[in-house]
This record gives sequence, structure tokens and C-alpha cells, in this order.
Amino acid sequence: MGRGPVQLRRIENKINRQVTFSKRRSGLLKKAHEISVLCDAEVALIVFSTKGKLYEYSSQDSSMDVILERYQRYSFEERAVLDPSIGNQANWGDEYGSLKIKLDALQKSQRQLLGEQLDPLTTKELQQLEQQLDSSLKHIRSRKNQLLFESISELQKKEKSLKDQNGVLQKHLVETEKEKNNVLSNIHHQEQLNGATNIHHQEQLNGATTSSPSPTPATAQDSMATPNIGYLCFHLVHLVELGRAT
Amino acid sequence: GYQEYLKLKQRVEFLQTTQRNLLGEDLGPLNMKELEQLENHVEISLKHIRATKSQQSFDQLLELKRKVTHVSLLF
Repeated sequence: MGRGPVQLRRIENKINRQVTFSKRRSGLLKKAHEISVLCDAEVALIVFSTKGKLYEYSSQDSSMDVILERYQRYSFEERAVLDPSIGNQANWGDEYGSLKIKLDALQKSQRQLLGEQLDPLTTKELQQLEQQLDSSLKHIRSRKNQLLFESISELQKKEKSLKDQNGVLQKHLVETEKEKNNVLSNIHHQEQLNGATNIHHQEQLNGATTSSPSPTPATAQDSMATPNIGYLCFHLVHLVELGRAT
Repeated sequence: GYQEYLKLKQRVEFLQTTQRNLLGEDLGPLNMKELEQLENHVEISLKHIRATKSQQSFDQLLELKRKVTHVSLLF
């Protein structure tokens, strides 16, 4: 809270001014909402900062336009009440008339800005017009460039993020490949081991007689020529269990 | 009555916005396409203005030449 009574003058210190604006603005918006809820009032609040940024509040969502229109109608009608002659067609015509004059003037200057109806203009006026439009062109082009740079940097960010994703996926792929190869070589290795022990057992069983035609692992290995992952996994599990048993 | 006044007011406001854009101000809300259209309008306008300036200069030159000839004939 403020240290003592606050002087009602513009705050000179830039930072203090900004901080105070920030605090009081949010307080004001809060109060506006509160009075609208507590007292069932239709409230609109408009604040422009020195930098020109808009802060607004209205009692119900998107009803700022409604409240503004109500205000316009009210102030117009109220003036008619205070000064009955305003509601009058004659004066009403005045109001409307002056706006019409404004419209015509605007249309005329607009034509000239578009390079038409230049006849009544003197050399000096033409010169002025040219300078105005020249500087306008500079602004327009610099704004265009700004938009282009912004969209370029957006796309560059996107590119980087996609490249990163790509890298992660690549790594994943390589690791999966490695695992697959490991599985394959393990199976081959196990097959060789089992083949050797099988033949050894068979010879022991059959004594000195000729080695019986037991299904050699050689054929098993041949059939492994084109394995698929499912077959491999099943085989791997089987071999792991065999390994544990021996 | 009031409705017509409102419509007129809207027209005036619209013209005012267009005017400001043509003068290169309040360009914030415009997208790229609108900016290009605006640039086009201004470029064409400048062409006309410069052509009119040239014409005026030419006419003034002719007038001066005529005056010079006229004066020199007096002597």
C-alpha cells in the first residue's frame, strides 16, 4: 500500500509509473467486475496505456459493442431530452448534414490519395501529396519485410524441430536394427552349441556304432535362411529356456 | 432517423481507416495480401501524380516560353 497520501499528479519515475499502472489497472478491472456482479450493473471499462495498448472489461462476454451502442444511443437521446430541439428533424438534419459534409470531404481527399481528380491541385499541393505517398510506400514495404522475416524465422524454427525429431527417430531405428542383429547372431550361436552337444549325446547313447541319423541342426540352420521376427522371438525364448536348463 | 445516421457514421469511419492505411499508418491488422494490394494502390497513385506533375511542368514551360517570345517581340 502507498506510503502516506498519494499526490494526484503524473508519476515522474518511469518504472514506478509502470508498476503503479499495472497494479491499479488490475485493481480497477477487478472492481468493475465486482460491481457488475454484486449490483447487477452493465459495466464496460476501457483503458489505453501510454504505449497505446488496450485493456478492457465488459460485464458479459463480447458485449462491449452492445454497451457502447447503448451508450451512443443514450447520450444522443439524453441530449435530445436536455435540449428538445435536437430531437427535431431540422436540427437532426444538421447533425446528419455535418456528418455528410465530413463524408464528402473524406471521399474527395481519398480520390486524390488514389491519384484521381488531381486537377484542382497546385504544383505545391501535388508535391506534398507525392511526398506523403512516398513515405507511406516506405512504411508499407518495411512492414511487408517485417512480416516476411517473421514467417521465415517461424519456418526455420519448424525446420529445426523437425530435424531434431528426425534425429531421434534415426537413433531409434539404428538401435532397433542392432537388437535385431544381436538376436539373429545369438540364435545362430545357440544353434551351433546345441548342434555340437546333441551329436555328442547321440554318439554316447549309440555307443561306438555309426552316428545315428538324428535330425542334425544343419537342416535346422538351413531352414533359418529366411527367418521372420515372430519365428525368431519364439525360437529365442525356447533357446533361453534350454540354456537355463543345461 | 438514427439508423441512417449510424450507417453514415460507419461509412465515415471506414473511409477514415482506409485513408490512414493509404498514408502508411495503422498497418498492424493487415495481412500480407492486403499489404500488397495497398502497396499496389499507392504505387499506381504515385505514377498518376508524377505524370500530372510532369504535365503541369511542361505546360508551365510552354507558357513561359510563350511569354518570353511575346516579350522579346516587343523589343
